[in-house]
Amino acid sequence: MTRARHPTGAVLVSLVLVATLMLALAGCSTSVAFGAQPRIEDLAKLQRGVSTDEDVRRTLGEPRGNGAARLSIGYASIWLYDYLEMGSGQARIKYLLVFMRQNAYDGYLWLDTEATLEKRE
Amino acid sequence: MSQSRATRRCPRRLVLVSAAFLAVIAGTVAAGCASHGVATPGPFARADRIGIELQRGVSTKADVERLLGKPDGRGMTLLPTQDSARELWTYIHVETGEPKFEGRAWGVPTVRMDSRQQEIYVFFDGDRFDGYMWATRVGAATRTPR
Repeated sequence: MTRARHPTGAVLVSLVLVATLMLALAGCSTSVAFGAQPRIEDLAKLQRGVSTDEDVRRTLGEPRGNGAARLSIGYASIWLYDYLEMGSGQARIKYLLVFMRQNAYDGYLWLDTEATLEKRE
Repeated sequence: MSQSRATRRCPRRLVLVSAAFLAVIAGTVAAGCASHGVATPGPFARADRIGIELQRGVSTKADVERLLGKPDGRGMTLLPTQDSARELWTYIHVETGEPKFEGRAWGVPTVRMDSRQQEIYVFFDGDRFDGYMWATRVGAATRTPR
């Protein structure tokens, strides 16, 4: 199995720092959201190996971040879409990674999750 | 192990990076917005049983739910190494400590709050359990009160 090397990590770490700063500054007395809702439902409009960069931009919008991966089948670039909503102890996270190979769309990973937040007494 | 199994494993590091990203975000959210309540380990109390009680290609979603409870979220993957979309379930638990006033930094009052973030991602091939990944993070966040 080919071992993966991920410059993606450095990109995401940078994003994390920005996101962390934004959240820290935002405070939580009211509901706060940032990012853009990933258009999960539009993924079906894309065709693997066929849809181009421009097709993906037109369908999903401009990504909020970028990364790269080396997989067992070769290199892929990653486009990141994310959305975070929080308020009164609840957080909802939507997250979409789009994989591009050889200038064509080649897959995705998305999550839509809530986070259980508890305070230790 | 078949080739398809082997190639399927590789992108997990991508998921791990994603998990780390979510962990930091959610950890920060927890630091700023934690609700009052009694902390429980939730599904993570049984995380050490996953590798024992669940079998790849055999256990079902019902088995996973029996072990870990209802997921906090869901998702799908169609990785470049996969020939069809797969479902994933997410479990995320964030626990925070009491906020502590830490004086001033450059004249600005700051509050520090410890947090612990735990995540489990469970992958399915149809109705069958196909693997899992968990991550945990312990850290502290500091922010300026309003």
